[in-house]
Amino acid sequence: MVRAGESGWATAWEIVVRERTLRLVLRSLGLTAAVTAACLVIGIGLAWLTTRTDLPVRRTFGVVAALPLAVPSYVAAYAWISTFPNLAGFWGTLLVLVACTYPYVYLPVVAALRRADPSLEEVSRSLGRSSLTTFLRVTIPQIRPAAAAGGLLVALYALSDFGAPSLLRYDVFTRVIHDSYRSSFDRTPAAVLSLLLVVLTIAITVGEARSRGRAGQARVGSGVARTAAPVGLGRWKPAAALACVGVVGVSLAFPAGTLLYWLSVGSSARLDLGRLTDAATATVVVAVLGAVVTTALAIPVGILAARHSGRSARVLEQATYAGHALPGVVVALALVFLGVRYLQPIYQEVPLLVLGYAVLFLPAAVGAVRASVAQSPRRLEEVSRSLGLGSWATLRRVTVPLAGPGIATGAALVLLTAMKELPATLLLRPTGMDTLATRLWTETGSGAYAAAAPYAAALVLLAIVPAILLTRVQTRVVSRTTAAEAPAPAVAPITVAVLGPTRPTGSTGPDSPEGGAQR
Amino acid sequence: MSHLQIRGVTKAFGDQPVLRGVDLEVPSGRLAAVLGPSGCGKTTLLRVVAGFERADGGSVVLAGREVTGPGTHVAPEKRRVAVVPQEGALFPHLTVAENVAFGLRGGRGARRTGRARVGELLELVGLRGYEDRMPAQLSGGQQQRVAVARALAPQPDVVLLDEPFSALDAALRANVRADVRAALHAAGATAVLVTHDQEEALSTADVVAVMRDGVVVQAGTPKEVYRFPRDVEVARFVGEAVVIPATVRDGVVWTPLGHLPLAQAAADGVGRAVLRPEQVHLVPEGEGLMARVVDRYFYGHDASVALEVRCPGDVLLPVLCRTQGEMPEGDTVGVRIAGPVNWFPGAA
Repeated sequence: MVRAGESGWATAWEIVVRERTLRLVLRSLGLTAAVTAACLVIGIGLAWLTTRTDLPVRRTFGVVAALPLAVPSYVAAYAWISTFPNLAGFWGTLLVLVACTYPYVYLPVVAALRRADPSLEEVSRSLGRSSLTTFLRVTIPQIRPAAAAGGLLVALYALSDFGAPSLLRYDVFTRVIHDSYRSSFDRTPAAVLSLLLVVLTIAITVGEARSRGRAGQARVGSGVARTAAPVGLGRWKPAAALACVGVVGVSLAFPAGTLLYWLSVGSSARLDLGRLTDAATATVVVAVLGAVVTTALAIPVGILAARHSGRSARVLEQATYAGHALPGVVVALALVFLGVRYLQPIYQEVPLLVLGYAVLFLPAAVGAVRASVAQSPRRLEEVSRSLGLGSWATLRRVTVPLAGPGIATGAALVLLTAMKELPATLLLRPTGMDTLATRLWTETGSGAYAAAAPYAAALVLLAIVPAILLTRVQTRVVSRTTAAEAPAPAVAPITVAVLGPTRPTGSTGPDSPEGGAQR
Repeated sequence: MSHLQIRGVTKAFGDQPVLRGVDLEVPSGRLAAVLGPSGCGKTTLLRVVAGFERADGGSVVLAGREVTGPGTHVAPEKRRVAVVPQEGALFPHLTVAENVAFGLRGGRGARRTGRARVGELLELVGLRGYEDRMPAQLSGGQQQRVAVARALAPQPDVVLLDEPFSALDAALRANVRADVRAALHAAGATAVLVTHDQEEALSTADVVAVMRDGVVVQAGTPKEVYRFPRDVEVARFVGEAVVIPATVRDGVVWTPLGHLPLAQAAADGVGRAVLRPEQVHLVPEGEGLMARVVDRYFYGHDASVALEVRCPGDVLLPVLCRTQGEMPEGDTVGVRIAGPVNWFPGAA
């Protein structure tokens, strides 16, 4: 902001209204819309097939379908472009982004479908509605908040992604910002475009929050919802299975295959094992540092946000939304500016990089902690107080242990995204330090696809660990909370982690004196 | 254990008053039921006593110590008040034994005595052997019993139970209620039970306080509250009531159903009389007043018959009659009213 303002508002305005800028906005928004729409269709479709039908091997498939989460978009981009050089441009970018981001819709929708009360669907069927009408009028409304939140994640991801569009040479905001930062001494355009990008992302976030349905789910009685009887696919079964296999093929098998191919070719191109280990170690070290620092900061903030409803807590919640909307390129640029000006000692040192990760990922971690604290009934803390434990002891023995899954989710999410994060790492890493992501970037930038393969493979293998962790937390949460009286979460943890929970309707608080009775 | 005194407690949320001066006294070792419809402020009262909410005015004195009062607000953990919330609210991450031991003060040496105490309490609520279960593996009734054991563990001055049985099946409820009551009595605990179920209040408590619109309208033994309600609303709330227009003259209640003795002395005037369905007796047709059978309800242990009584002057009066299970064969019966009735002045 300061950087943009410094060179005079006139210059800034000139950059904004340039025709090229306008085209940039349209192109970025077009890509974002296309990616989001495709991800919604694929994500919801897959989620329904794997949870509600008699699809063959649907359990295994349910887990596999979430794994593209571990494939960074630039690795997928690298896999495709190295095989089909003609893929550069809009369609290639679309394909790669969809393949990498549909799990953001798929995972929360799976969780929502598992939680949705199947008796509602049975009632609809018994009232004479067809299964299609039932799906559209009963099922979709139940999963709508989850799907919308997932769609928002995808949109933000598509808008802020830097690696894939760059490798596929499709000029969107992030790529132009990075190029103009790198290629010219005048950094004003970069700053102005960053601001514009931030405005766009915030607009999308606010738009989604506004349009979110207000209808809560009412459920009489505290009985545990049964699992739904699977829908028979009949003669559609082969087609459905084929579609699933296709999605996984495009998003997982193809990148994996390409990597293996380049690995085998690359063995002749002299693999520098020392360099690979160095890069892998650096990746793990900075990602773990980032995860630890971010989670440590997120625990107090998350608890505060969940348990104190006041102005400051609301501001914090808003900051969570805004924070997530900041693309990595923008945060990195801001920190570069800050580092050069005020934090000279740590500029281009590990602490600044870790700080960058914290700024980028704190919202996600806070959201995860906050959501799980909000889900555990406040009553438990009251019971603890009445049994003679002070507020600190209650925090230590009740609140934090109950938030455990949320804290783990937050940490895994930060770990995963920090490993994959490209632009911030690229701009903030210490001179001479390379992570897997930056090595991959350098090698592919110069067309050395075979040399890039080992780094890409190592990165995917590392990223799979937190991705599996996330998937398991995601699917287990449902079964663990059914027995406790905790109200079912409105949105799945992963979405909540990034977006903050949608406030449960009728939460018990000081403003609903007899609220407990109605629950 | 100890005496609980609540005096003039007021509390408002925003500009909406919820408690408007509540007075209640529970003698040491007794179980009091606060009975009221939802929204009457009974849960808020409980939360004020527990220290989860600050009262706007009035005082709460526990075992001679003022815990809530002007300028005084003792923190919940320092009150020696244990709560049993609705649906138990067991800590889901702790085993049954750990839940029960949660409030026990523990140094190293306390661990062994603690384990003995946990066993003793689980014995009390009939769940010995469940120490290592997780709350999710227990039924609703079992969870509720563990919650009671957990509340009793640190030997609190008062135990507060917030509609603890409302989430249980009807069949289970009576059992758990009896067990919990026995456990509370065995521990000699002073307890306050909040409920909207009149049968639960009357059958479980030593003292019943009927609450309405943020005040205690009447407090007394279950018998007093049922037999001598303070007004028509209380009468209707603590049991089924037949309300008929009535006039008092010379200590006798004159009603369309005949003249009846007064339960409580009253001055002459116009008003309403309340009789209980068990005071209405069916007699062979031709005796007493004639009545038409409108509906029959069979409950097993007893039965109710809805009647339309033809009173002198051709006035038709709806009356509910409770029987031991027998029901009239035909469509018309005779009716006779027995026993004293409560009468309240005011327009019919």
